[in-house]
Amino acid sequence: MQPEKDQGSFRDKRGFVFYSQGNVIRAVNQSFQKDWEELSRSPLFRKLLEKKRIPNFTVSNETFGYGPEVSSTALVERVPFITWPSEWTFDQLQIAALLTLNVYKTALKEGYTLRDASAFNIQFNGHQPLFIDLFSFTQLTEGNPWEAYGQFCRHFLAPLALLHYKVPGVSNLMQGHIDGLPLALTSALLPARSKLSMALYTHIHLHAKYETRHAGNTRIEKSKLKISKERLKAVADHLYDTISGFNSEQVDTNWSDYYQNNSYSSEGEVFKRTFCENVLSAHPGHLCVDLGANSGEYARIAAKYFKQVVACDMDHTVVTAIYRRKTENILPLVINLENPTPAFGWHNKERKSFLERIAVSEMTMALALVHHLCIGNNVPVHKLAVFFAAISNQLIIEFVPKSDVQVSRLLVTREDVFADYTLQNFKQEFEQWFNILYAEQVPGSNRVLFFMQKKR
Amino acid sequence: MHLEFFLYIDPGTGSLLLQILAGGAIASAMFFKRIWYTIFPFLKPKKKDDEE
Repeated sequence: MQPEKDQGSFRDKRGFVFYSQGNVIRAVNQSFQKDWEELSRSPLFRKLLEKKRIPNFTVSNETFGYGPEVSSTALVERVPFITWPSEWTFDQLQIAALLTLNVYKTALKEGYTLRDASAFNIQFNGHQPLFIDLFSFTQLTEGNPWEAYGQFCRHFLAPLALLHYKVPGVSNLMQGHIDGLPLALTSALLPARSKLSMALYTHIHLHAKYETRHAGNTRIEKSKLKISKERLKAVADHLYDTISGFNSEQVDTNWSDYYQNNSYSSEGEVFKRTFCENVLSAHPGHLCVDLGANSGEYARIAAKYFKQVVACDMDHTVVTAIYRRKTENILPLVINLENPTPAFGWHNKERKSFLERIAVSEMTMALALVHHLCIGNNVPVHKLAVFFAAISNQLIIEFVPKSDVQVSRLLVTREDVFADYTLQNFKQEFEQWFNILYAEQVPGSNRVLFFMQKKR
Repeated sequence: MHLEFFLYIDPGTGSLLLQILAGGAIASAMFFKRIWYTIFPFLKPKKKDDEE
């Protein structure tokens, strides 16, 4: 039987990705075999591997039961957790853009070019970005323009420029546009003063006008459009300098100072840390997901016992702070659990939903989170238990009762219609799905920490 | 030989045209910048580590 193909790699005629026994494997189609052999042994790949810009791979003649269209395979170093660009912070998108340009510039130097410049080609191994699409490279035909220039502008330059100018809602826009933000839309959303920047005027505003003006233009023969290699490099340098110069200043939010201004005593904090440390050290594994990670304090404890920790929060500022600490195996993401990333793309299968991706994790942490979901977002406790049963195998979860100062704060502006939000009901609902191994009250508060395992 | 692969994404004529124009403009701007920095080397900003 043939192994399962990746649902997101069907566009490429050179090959596809599939999974076999937990491994990620790239199948090389017959038509690409000769070029692949050359590419995989090229000085370009040697350089990129040395600098850890592309994942390691091992070539093989085994074809895993695929027909004659596949002539060889490459076992590729697996990225522990796949993410989508709309889940990244500004910093992550910026570093992904710079990596793409870096890889492109190296390719140019070695006589190659990139066929596409999609942000989906970048994945993070912890805080480190990797250019994962090994089949994106093709030999440069002197004089040909960069076919992926427009795509690069849509996927990277456009959202970064919008974030630089503090236009809100960019991640939603990114999620809605699988092939990058349309330049005409970006041009309309950017403030007029962005036209004073030569780079943005050229690569976004004028670019958008040219796209519209020449849409469907068949009078110009594309093969006659020529540009020298030096100029290709000049454009790449210009994009690089522009993107390096972007910044998104930290904005103070009510989350960033949560740990300085919360409801625990220091004794309670020590207790909570010890509880997590004990559970995590006794159940180490590959993937731990921290939902509502805040400053990442508990994610850092998990990072000692798990190969990869995905630290999620809906607050861009705190996620940025976690990313800037550059903990090797912590991958921070901006996720709003009230509306997590859905599955999208072709057949709604091309890009998996956030919940589907985290369901394989061995450990889920939900500390100081449930009151935001139940009181802040009116989720009944019953539905909360169903949710966690669907996404977790082992769960560290904290119940924050109504008497807690954080919950009282939420209730100030709301009518208390949350009769089901009690410790007893919480336990009952979760026991439908989980075996509760530990339940301990945090000293100096009425909060209760649970460690539970899903019933088989 | 690479034609099929080049058409993997549709780059759009406008986008290609603009790239060529931008390439020319940026290259000539850089040419003058280089002359400028040769005359006034102390004005040259320190380059970040972006190289391959």
